[in-house]
Amino acid sequence: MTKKITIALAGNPNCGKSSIFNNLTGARQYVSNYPGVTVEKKEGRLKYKNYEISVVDLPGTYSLSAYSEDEIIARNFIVQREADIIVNIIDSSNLERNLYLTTQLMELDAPLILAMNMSDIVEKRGEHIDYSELSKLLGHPLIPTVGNKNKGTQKLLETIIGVYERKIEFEKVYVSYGAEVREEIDKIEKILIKDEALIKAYPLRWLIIKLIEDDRLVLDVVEKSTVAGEAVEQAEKSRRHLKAHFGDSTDVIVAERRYGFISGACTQSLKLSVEDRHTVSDKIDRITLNRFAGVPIFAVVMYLIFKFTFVLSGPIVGWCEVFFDWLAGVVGGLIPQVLLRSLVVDGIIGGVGGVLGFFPLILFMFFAIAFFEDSGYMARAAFVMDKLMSKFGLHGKSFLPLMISTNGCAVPGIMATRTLENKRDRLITMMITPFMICGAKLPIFALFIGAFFPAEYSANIMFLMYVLSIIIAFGCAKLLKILVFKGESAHFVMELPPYRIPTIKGILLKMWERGWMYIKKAGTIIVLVSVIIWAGFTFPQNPVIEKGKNLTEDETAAVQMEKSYAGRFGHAIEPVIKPLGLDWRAGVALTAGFAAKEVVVSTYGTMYSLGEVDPEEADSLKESIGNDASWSPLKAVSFLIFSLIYIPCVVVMAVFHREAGSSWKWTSFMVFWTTALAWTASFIVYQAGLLFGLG
Amino acid sequence: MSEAVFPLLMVSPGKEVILVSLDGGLNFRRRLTDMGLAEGVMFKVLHSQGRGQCIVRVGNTRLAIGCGMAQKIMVKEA
Repeated sequence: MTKKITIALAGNPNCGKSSIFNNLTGARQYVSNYPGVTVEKKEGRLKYKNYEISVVDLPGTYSLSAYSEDEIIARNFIVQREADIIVNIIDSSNLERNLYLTTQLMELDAPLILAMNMSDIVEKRGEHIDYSELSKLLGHPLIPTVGNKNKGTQKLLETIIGVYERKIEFEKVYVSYGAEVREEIDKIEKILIKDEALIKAYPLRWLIIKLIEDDRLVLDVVEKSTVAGEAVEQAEKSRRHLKAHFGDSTDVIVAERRYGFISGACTQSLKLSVEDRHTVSDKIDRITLNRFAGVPIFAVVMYLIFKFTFVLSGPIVGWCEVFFDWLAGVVGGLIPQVLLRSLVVDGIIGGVGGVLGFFPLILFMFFAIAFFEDSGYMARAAFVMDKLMSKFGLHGKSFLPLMISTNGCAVPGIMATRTLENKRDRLITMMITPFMICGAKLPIFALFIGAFFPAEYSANIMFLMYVLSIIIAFGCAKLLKILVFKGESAHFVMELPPYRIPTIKGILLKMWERGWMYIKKAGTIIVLVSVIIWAGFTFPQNPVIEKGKNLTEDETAAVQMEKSYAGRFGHAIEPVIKPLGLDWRAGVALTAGFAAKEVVVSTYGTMYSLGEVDPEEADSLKESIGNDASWSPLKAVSFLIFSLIYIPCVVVMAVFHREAGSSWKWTSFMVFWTTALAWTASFIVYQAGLLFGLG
Repeated sequence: MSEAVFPLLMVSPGKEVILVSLDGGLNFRRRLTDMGLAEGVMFKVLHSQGRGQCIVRVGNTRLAIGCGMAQKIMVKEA
């Protein structure tokens, strides 16, 4: 019979939990050289011998005092004993700091295994850890592992089984808090054990120490117990007593004892090379974190990413366009039935092909971003930007959500705001994250910039658009901070990972993972919406064409579109967007874009494809738009600005709604505000452009 | 011999100091302590950006400290 074991992976941010998770389960969870990438618990399964092991990867946390959403998720899972065994992943190259969490995990009285990850870095530094000695000192089994090279996985699994079957047992060790503290622990213990339900739900020793530490969340738990009054009073008394005795608040005393215990364990088991090295990371930091050059360097890095992406992907995007034109011609010739041919050629190939044509561009962009992420530079960028961002009422940690959203997707971007401790900071960041140019908006920009501006400037204009998106986001953050979310921001402390040379495999994997999402979306939702849009333009068929007019085929096609359901809808909303220089077709495309932003492009693909009667002379979408006399560069810019700012797609809105605490107030505010802002910005740009004679 | 205690803000890059106290709220103290900046810990200032923004090294950890915190971190010379 197979036995089921649940294990939880706990550890500091950026200690390699996710790589161990991937090694154990064979999953390909996102791994990065940036703290706080995992914000949700993720579950995976594996079979080993006669066991079915379910592995839960928890968000990284520095201690069991939780501050932010992601840390609360980790802590609740750990202390509520949902796992049979906790595997504490430790960055061995950073032993003392990582053991701080371990000392708290030891207080849970739960089966605990210590995985000494990144053990190769320690060896490379010429340091030596006596694992068996450390294991004895800490009272738990200890396995050296190297997550990114998949070393030690087998041994870890064996140990998990051994601990589960109680074949491996250790003598329990606790941090000694000294006689004074112990007395207070005993006093509180006598009270808490009276509530059986409470000590069944939570580890007793941990509860007591957290009470002494004055932990808000634990206080809330105890206040709901049957011994609430008595326990809270005693905890208060104990804290006062200890403070009077030691002259320090209890949280400081407890932390001091823990670090004392750790430093004792480390001196006995760790041979350090003591010299103060100027590591390569420090040397690079001297340049990248330079007080004056830091921000300009970041701007240059971003600019290079765009240059790289546009210059290298340009020709390939061109080939893709040629390919889809060819495909449309060939497939069109194969299907005799008119309506079906139109559905496939105009609806699906015209729509989805328009989106997929930009796939190479997306891949190159992901490649460049993954490179900087894995190198460790992105964490520096957050620090460099902190000063600038704090001027706009943003937090240094807001940087990651914005970065994830840029070229990626606002959905994980909004999820990543969970690392922000302060609710106000978090809401502001969530509200501006969708302004970034995500992977779905990128094709819109690439299409229109390609159609109206010379190729040699496209990277630069694109870069300007990104700068504009940041200006809008930061400006809105400032406004929100002044008008709605007054008050101090949380403090910014972040661990900077060492610089690493990214592995080609790591980058390619990441690039592919995100790229695959793009393809999957194109193959599902975009196809679906494209078909709906096509149907909207195709029906009702054969409108009554006014008698006496001799229309060419092209004109007939145009009239058909205008009189279709979608066309009528577009005409109905045209008055609203006319002051922005936009016509009914833009109205349809932008409305459809609420389903997913790529749809803006696919809708134009379908429209221009339907408008072209002879498939033999079909131009690429870019050429069709560029040659269309109803457009002008000014109108295109107005359109792009509207696309940049207006309401996020439906998935983002759903995630926003959930993460904003299911508040309809904020959700409706978001809808109204983004649309109003988009309209105003486009209006100003278009009317000012006309005034200066740019129309 | 009396030892001078001063805020981290005044420490120039390259200097090593010992943390004396964290003069902030409970959350502030805990956050820093959890990340390795506890009382009595020796650490080195690697870079300073002015306005209290700085990078310190505690053990083998590099910590980035944002604006407005360095005046609340009291240290003495190591």
